[in-house]
Amino acid sequence: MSVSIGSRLLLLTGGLLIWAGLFLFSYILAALACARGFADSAWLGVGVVPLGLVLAAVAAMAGLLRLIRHARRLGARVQHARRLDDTAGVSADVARMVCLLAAIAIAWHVLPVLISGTHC
Amino acid sequence: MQRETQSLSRLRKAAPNSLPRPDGELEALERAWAPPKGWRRLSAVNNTQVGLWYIGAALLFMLLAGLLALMMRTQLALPQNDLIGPTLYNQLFTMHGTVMMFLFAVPVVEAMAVYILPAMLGARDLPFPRLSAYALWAYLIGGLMFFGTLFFDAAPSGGWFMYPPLTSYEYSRGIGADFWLLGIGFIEISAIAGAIELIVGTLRTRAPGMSLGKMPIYAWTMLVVGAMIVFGFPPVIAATLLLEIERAFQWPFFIAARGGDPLLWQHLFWLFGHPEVYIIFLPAAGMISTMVPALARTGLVGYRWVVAALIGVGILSLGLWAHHMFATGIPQLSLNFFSAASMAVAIPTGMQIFAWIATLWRGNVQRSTPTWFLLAFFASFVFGGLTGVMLAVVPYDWQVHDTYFVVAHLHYVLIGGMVFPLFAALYYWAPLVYGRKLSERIGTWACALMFSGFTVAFLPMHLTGLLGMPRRVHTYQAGLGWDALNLVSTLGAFTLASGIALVFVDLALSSRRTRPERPNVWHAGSLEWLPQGAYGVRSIPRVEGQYPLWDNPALAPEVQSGQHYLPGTATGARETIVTSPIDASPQYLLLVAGPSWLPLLAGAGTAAFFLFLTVKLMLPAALGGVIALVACWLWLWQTDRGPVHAPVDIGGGITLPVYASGSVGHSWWAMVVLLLVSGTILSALVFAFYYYWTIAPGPWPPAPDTLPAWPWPAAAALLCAGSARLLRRARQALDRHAHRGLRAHLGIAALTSLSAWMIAIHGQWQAGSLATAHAFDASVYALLSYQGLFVAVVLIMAAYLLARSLAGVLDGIRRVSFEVCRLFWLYTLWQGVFVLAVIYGSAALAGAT
Ligand code: HEM
Ligand SMILES: [Cu+2]
Repeated sequence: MSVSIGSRLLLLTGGLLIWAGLFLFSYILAALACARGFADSAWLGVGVVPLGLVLAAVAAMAGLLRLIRHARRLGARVQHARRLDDTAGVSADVARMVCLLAAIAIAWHVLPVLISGTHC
Repeated sequence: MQRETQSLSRLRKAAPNSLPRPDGELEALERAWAPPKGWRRLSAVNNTQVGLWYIGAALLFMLLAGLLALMMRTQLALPQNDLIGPTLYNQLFTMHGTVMMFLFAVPVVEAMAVYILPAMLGARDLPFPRLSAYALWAYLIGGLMFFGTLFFDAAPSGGWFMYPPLTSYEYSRGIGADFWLLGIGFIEISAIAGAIELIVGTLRTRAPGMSLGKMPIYAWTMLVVGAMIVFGFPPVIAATLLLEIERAFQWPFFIAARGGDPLLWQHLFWLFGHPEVYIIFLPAAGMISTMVPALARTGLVGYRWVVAALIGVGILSLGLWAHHMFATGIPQLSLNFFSAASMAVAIPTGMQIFAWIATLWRGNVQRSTPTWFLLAFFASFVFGGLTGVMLAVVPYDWQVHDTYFVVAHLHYVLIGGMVFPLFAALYYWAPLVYGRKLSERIGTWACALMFSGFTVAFLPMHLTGLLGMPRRVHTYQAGLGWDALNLVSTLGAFTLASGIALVFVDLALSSRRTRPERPNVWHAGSLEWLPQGAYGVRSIPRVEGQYPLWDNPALAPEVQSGQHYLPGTATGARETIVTSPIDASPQYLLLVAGPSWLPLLAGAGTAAFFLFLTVKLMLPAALGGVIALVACWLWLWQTDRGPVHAPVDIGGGITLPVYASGSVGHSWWAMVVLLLVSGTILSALVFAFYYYWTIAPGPWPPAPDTLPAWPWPAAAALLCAGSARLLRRARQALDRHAHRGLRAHLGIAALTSLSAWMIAIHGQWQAGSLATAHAFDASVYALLSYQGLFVAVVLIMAAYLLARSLAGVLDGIRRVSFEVCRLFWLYTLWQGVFVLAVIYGSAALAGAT
């Protein structure tokens, strides 16, 4: 088995990298919305900013799901092969746990805006 | 876990080397690693020596900063006290905070890793011992000079986060702020050197078989911490650069009247500052994850959860920075995100705490000093974490911002979260240094005094803060309800200090009774408790589980008798095994650098350069810079030794080459890490550039007619691409052993790189853009100057490679120097193109809309 350390690290951190991407996106969106004054504008009655956030969060969650599935397959392969080296198994588990953390963080991330609105 | 261990022992293969070992093998190993004697000891570079000095230096700075704290507490004991005036008090809290954070907390956790980590990984040394020696000397000499400013009334006084405009030229005229900016800027270099060492060390020098899944949690922690330093320190490096340039040359990065913004500093500072808190706490957590299983005599519960938690903290902590800025009037909309992330980060920290509690629960805990310190840690850190979650609630923060509540909170997490674990670690690992435990009696007393003193000092401060006492005030009126609380805090502070003093008494007493052997007093399962000499372990163990000493009780005698890998020195020099990063299979033999004066000289030169630069003594500064440069040159010259020896049999049928080039080599990895740092600094500067865009009240760019016509940046970008092509030709020449061609291409490529930069900067200048005019121009020149720095390094590298080629020590085989420089060079060229695209591309876009 020869995976590169880069792809292995990407697997381990992937979940939270998705969170980081969402965070960066929201930060820029909020900064622009407030600086350019479209924080409260709406489109068909739905706030532009909450809409953008929710769409991005849904995309992020979808990404997490894919990653989790990928990790589960990797874990299953390892069990099947009954390999003594547990690196892949550990990585698959850790990757899924990181995804779980990321899912909580993402839910947490969008809720306040939905509840408390989009004041600048 | 249990089953895994059993199946492993059934399958255990015979140790890789057989007995008896040849005569003289051990003696040769000892000779290779013999530490220099007498005053030459200062030239030592191996991690067991440098690590100890490093820890000692960090503890020294803790004592110094602690003295400053006692001075402050003495002043605050009584209302309207006039022992210490406001000017000195400002210097005291600034120096206390700065020294504690930058000269104690971060260095001490790196120092502990320098000392313990290689032993825990089964390596003989770190991959770049001279780099750690350099980091130590630069830090120690520079740090002492920095502290010395207190005696010349030249200490900084803007608080440990140095907010402009207070620290701008206009409001802080003295050189105190410059000392902070240059001094800290350069301490950061030393921290980054440490991070490179730790990352490459954990990924590449683990004992054979210690795959990622079997790596000790402490190693995982230091890997995450290394990565956090790589991504966390650059923003503050960028910020200190910008503020120092503003102070020296009046480029208005933070001056609102000329398009700048003081808030930008806060963003950049806390982009670093919050990860910094975890850079301090995580290593402590890693030590706890090591001590708890040993003290409880059972494996850590939830290894995988803890690894996930470490990754979680590492990444989530990047999204917290603005929780230090809740009171600055940033849009409510953005604050939501930071508040949410600040609460989310409590989850992974909680996961670790539950893992430790579960382990203690399951195990049979040894009653000893480290255990007591760990209990002190649990009590205070959990409390500090909870007040942290309170502060993450925005309206609550508005209420207590800048009061003693925050002072209480930060000391609960810092002292609770890292000082108590550190002292636990000192007691736990002391037998590695002294050959015996420290005194249980003194230790227990010290812990009791420290914990009670700490609680008495800092618990009341929550109340003092809620009652409205602001932080950073040198005195207060009587009768506001703060009097008794302050007096109690002062008494507590002195009690805490006496506990710390007791620990030092214990260390001093024990150092006179050291024994040579290193008994495994806690019956721990990790490799650092194997019998060791100056050379580390006699033979490098084959690792088969997470707790090698528990999994194989015979490991210690096997290792000591030389039955494992590389039971001696194969080339007569210092060596360690480089393994693959995921499953740790042996790849090649790294020839580890031996004692040298050059790191000390380079460190002193670097420190002198920065010091004299601060006080504007240009000639001595230049001298220091030249010394540092020459020392580095000579030191690097000796490192790329080529395949000096035929491939070596390390046992178990494994034969390893003694030289590796290309992406397998450890230097290549170090360069990749360095480039990540460089890229992150660049991102911070780009962040600043765009930040001005979002805050611009009028059009952006503010004066489009002071931008160069497109041919200028286009020509510069083309030259960068051309230079990259020439570099490729140079490499092809090297492959063909065509020395002339190599030199010619190197030379022309260097000139092309230089001219690309000169054209870019000249284009900007001839269009009439002045860096002092507006923050926009300043940020453009900042990006171009940053590129200039890289081009300067490229020129030195080109000269170095030419010199090596002329001296006949660079060819198609002995080529690591070339490859490493080439990587940096290519990065520089692409960075150049990127910078041009950012500046002129976005200006063009903004102009078009
Ligand atoms: C002997 C134990 C200590 C005592 C008695 C102590 C006391 C103090 C006092 C009195 C202040 C100034 C409060 C003010 O005027 O605003 C302060 C600030 C501070 N302390 Fe400590 N401290 C101790 C240990 C530490 C440690 C171990 C750290 C970090 C690792 C630390 C980090 C800080 C920081 C960052 C500040 C803020 C400085 C500023 O406002 O710029 N302290 N401490
Ligand atoms: Cu923070």
